[in-house]
Parts: sequence; structure tokens; C-alpha cells
Amino acid sequence: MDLYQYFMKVIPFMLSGMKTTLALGAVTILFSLPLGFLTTLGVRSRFKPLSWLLEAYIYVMRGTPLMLQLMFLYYSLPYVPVIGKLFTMNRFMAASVAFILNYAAYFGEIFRGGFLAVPKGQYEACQVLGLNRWQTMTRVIMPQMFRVALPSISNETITLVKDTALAYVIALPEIMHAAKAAVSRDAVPAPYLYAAALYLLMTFVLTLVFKKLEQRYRLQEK
Amino acid sequence: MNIIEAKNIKKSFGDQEVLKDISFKIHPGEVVALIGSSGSGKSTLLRCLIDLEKIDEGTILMEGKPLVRDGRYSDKKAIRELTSKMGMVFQQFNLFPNMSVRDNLMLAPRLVKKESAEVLEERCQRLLQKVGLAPKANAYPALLSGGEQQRVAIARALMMEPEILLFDEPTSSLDPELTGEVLQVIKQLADEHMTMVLVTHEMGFAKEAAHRVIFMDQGCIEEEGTPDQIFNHPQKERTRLFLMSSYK
Repeated sequence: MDLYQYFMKVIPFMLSGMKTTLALGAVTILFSLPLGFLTTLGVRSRFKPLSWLLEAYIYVMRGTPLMLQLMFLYYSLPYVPVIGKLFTMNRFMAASVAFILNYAAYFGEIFRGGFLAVPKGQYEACQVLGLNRWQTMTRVIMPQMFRVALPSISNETITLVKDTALAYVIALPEIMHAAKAAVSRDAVPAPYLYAAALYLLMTFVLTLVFKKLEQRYRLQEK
Repeated sequence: MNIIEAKNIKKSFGDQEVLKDISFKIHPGEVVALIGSSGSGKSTLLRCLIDLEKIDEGTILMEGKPLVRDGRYSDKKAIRELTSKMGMVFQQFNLFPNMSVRDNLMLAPRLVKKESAEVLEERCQRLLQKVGLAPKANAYPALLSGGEQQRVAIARALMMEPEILLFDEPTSSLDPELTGEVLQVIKQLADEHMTMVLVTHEMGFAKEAAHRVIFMDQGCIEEEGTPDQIFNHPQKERTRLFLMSSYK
């Protein structure tokens, strides 16, 4: 069998893995961005217990390996007495929850940095002009915060695409899973290269999208 | 009636007393310059008037109504209503960098005063004309010089049609060659009888444009009077020393 034929034979399998990878990435972004934003608001809240709780959450999420969090959610949570049965999830569900919780913590920290970059004078200008808290946040602070946070969000999103490979440890049929299966079955090196090409393709598209976004937000200023 | 009356204001940051028993009045149409060395409490005093800082003791009345009486603040709604009659211009301009000049001017009156678009558009045009920036309506603040940004900030404050304008060192972060254009706008407002309180280091301007000068030192009002009294015949030793050092 020549290389071309082998490629054509394996690629549908790999593409279906990529579908899972994309689905996991999309679900994660979709939920972790807003959750991360809420986390930041909670950390900044004047209600201290909420702030402490969320800081502890960020500490745990950033302080332990994502792989451990994945394995814990999928393999060991069902063994927890009483509540374990409620948290028995299928592979995709477990991976989604782990990624969303993990990335929300990171995005929360990114948004926090964005907030810190908005000068105090902006809040004061809003106050003396009579804007209420909601108007101040949505019209003035958040657009500026978002512009500052965008490069880091872009970076984190690209990391996310590659991190989805960790879902291999709970046997989620994503790209890595497909590649490993093909390599073992056929005893050839090529599938890992195909996997690499697929990851590069995805990160390339994301890089372009974020470049465009950053340009648009920069243009607003000039 | 006085636009603003402050009685026995006291304020501390931690154990540092920054305002020690300050009392004064601002009359309608009056231009008052607050002068004094850095750390004398003049900026803090100005910020207390518009509720950016809270005082610990004393009374601030705005057109006879209390913002705070004997150290007890009125409810939020009353405070909002009183401070909405005041405008403020900051040393750092504090324009919104994510909006064009026009949007900087229109945002607050549109959201807060809920006036019609035509009325606001007309006022926006008129005020930009007044500060000499009509052609810059669509520019973003980052592309303007410091002097232009500060003039936009003044126009933005005027959009709310305040009864009194507070200036916190409006020219202190400008290059010397740009202070003139900002001072000229303020002078023009003075000629139109806008009530204004200015914290300033521009002694020449205070002398020329102010009706009254208040000299502050170490959290107290050391001396106040007409520009002629303060600049030409200061009574207190501290005033003399300050003026000598600031003319150097």
C-alpha cells in the first residue's frame, strides 16, 4: 500500500477525531469565557466569602494538573459515596466539565489582569458624569478591559486546542486517540504526523481569527 | 444663594489629617482658584465636593441642600441629584479611549439625561466649536494632543450642563506650549459667568481669571481674598513664602 492510499484510508478516522476535538474546544470556549468573567467579578466582589471561595477555586484549578482533574472527574468521582452516582458522566461530558472548570479559572485571571489595566480615572470620569455601575461597566470599562485581555485570550485558546489531547487519558475519541490507534494497529509512523498537521491547521486558523480581532480593536483607537 | 457652602470639613487618610476644619462658600458666577503647594489638600478638597472622596466631619451644601451634614451623608439618590449639577475636569483628562470625541461627549447625556438625539447632536456641535475642535468630532482621543484632549474633556463636562465646573489641575500634565489653549477655554467660560473652582499651579492665570483666590497650606485655608490681595498684598508669612517659591 503506498503512502497516498494509506493516507486516504486513515484520514476519515482522524477527521472524526478532529470533530470531537473541535467540539470539546468549542464547548470549552463557549462556557469558560463567560464563567471566567463571572469568576473575576466574584473575586472582585465586596462580599468576602464569595471572593475567598473563588480564589480557592482558581488556586486548585491552576495548582493541579489538568490531566489529574480529567481523571478525577471521569474515573474517581463515581466512587464518591452518595453523590458519586449523580456525577457519573460519559467521556465527552466529563472532559467538557473538566476543561470548562479549568479554563474558566485561567480566563478569570486573564480578565482580572484586564480590569487592573483600566485606570482608576476611567471609573471617576464615569461617576462625575452620572453613569450608574452597570453603564460604567458595560460602556466604558469592559470594552477597554477586553482589548487588554485579547492577546492573552488568544494565547490561551491556542493552548486549549493542544490541551484537548489530554482527553486521551479518559479514552475520548479525539485526534490523539485516533492517531495512537492507527499507529498501534498498522505499525506505521505517519498517523502522528497527520495529527500534528491537523493541530497546526486548527491553530493556524485560530491565529488568523485572533489577529483580525486584535486589529479591529486596535483600529477603534486610531 | 451660595452654589456651594462647606462648613468645618475634616478628612483623614489613615492617621494623616489632610483637611483640617475647612469652611468656604462659592457664589454663582464666581471663579475661585485654589492654590497651595503639593500635599496641601486642595485636590482632595475639590474631590470631596463632587463625592469622589468622603469627608469624615462637617457639612457640604449644594444650593442649600445637604450632600453631607455634620459628617452624615444624604441617601444615594440625593447625592446623585446634587453631584449631577457639578462637572469635573481631571488632570489626566480621563477621556474614554474606546470612543470617538463625539461619543465621549454624547455617552453620558444620552444615558443619564435621556435627551433627544437632535438636541444632543446640536449641543455637541456647538460645544466642540466652542473649544475649537469641531473638525475632530470623529477622532479618537489617542490621536489628539494633550491640549486637545483636555479641551474635549471640558466639552464633555459641559454636555451635562452643570451649574458649576470643578477643575483639578487641568494643565499640570500638559506640555507648557499647550497650556495656553486650555486656559483660554477656561477664560472664555469665566467671561460667560460659568461658576468654576480651579485647583491650579498657574499663578498668572489665577491672577488674571479668578475672582477670588484661596491659599491652602497643610490642610487649612491659610488666606483668601481677591487676586490683588493675595498676589500683591499677602498678609500671611506662609502665603508670601509660597508665592515667592512658585514664581522662581
